[in-house]
Amino acid sequence: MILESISRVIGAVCSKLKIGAFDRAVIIWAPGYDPTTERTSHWLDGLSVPIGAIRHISIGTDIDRDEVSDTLQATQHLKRVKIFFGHGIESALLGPPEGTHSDISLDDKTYSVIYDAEMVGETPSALFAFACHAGKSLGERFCLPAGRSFLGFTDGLVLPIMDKECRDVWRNIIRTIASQIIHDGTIEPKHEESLRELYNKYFDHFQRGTGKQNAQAAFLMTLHLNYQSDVLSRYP
Amino acid sequence: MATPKRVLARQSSDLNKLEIDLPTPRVLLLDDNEAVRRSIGQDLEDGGFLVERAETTSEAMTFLGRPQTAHQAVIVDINLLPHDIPGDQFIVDNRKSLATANVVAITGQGLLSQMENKRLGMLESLGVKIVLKGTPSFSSDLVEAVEGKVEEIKSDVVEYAEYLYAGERPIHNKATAQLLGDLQKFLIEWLRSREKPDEKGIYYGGHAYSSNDIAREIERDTEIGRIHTRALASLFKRNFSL
Repeated sequence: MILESISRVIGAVCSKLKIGAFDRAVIIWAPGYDPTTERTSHWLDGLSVPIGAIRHISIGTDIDRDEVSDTLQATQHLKRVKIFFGHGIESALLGPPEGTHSDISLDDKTYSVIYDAEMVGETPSALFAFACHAGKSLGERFCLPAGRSFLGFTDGLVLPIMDKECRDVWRNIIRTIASQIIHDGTIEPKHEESLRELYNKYFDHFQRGTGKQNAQAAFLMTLHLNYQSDVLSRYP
Repeated sequence: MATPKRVLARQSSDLNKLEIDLPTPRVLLLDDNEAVRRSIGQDLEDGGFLVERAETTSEAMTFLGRPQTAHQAVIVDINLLPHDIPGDQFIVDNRKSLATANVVAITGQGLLSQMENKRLGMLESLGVKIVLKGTPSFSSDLVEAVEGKVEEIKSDVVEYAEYLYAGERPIHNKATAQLLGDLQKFLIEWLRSREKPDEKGIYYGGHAYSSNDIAREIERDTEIGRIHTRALASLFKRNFSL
């Protein structure tokens, strides 16, 4: 108890002095349990975390609502940066089915709700949800308490990843923005701008640059790079 | 018959109004249907154009080959007589001599076949304006296309893209409905024309889709199909800098 208090004080002082991020928890959820997420969840492997930050990283493993609750409980005294990469709906982030009555069905697949508005607390927190639809109501609810920020999308996200070039583009987009947010500890307009710049950069690559030679993918890539930029949503 | 003259009124600091006589703009109209040549020709003449009418591509070539007869616009029906070459091929074959003209392709408004859509898409990529016969705004659309007012011609497309982007389906007039179908058909055709249309490399939700799958979902109007249609409208808006 005493050690924990001392650690918190040291952490607060170091953070004030911008030495590390001892007052921060970095939480990454990237469940992998179906053809899409099994293929993509490991894109967040190996992201660097600031010195001193507590890290809770669940990638490619089974993640359930209880585990998410436990993580939030354990980090409630810290500023939190949450990165989620997986499936979403307007009001929730989804994980693998638990086989209980609380599972939901979408497009003949079953999911569990691992994070929703009920779990939004008062702790200063940032959430980057690279997931379908969560930029609608979840993002808004997430940011009702002060000191909170959200970046997500208001429509479904389609990922054309038919070859390595496409895969590298999407992976670079999500890793770059996730890294920036983890490093800064919050989501600001500059992160939204940075994400749009990335979409534009790769859009130009596939529409006018060397990516245009990838005839099998270029049009689909421009289509969805542009659309994701269009349905990007940030709160507050 | 007296040749109509167009007058340009221009303001300047020295003169309140300066009138300049301009040469009568010349329009070549190629259509195998005599009634169409007569009615469209009359509309354009009423609008102050000198209209040269051709029933066949060889007649049209005669007009194009005359010295010092630059045409402001060349209007070509896509479907000419069976023994003639198609209108779109005529445009492509003569694109150098038509480079300075506003080239307008006209075609029937009914449900266009995939082949016709492809032909029209190819013409649009060459900067040719497409005007559908039989629409309520046909005459005004045609005159604007002849005069090179492309923004006005785009208006239906723009409006359509706005609706599509909002996830709605505006079928308030036939021209817009046609555009809706055209964009979707374009995307479906492209998806099915890919080298490996059955290779599953497009991910959404918990599923992997092939290009053929996506084309089918667009036709079925499912959620992933609608996302693609909205994405296409968004891309359309971007490319027109709307």
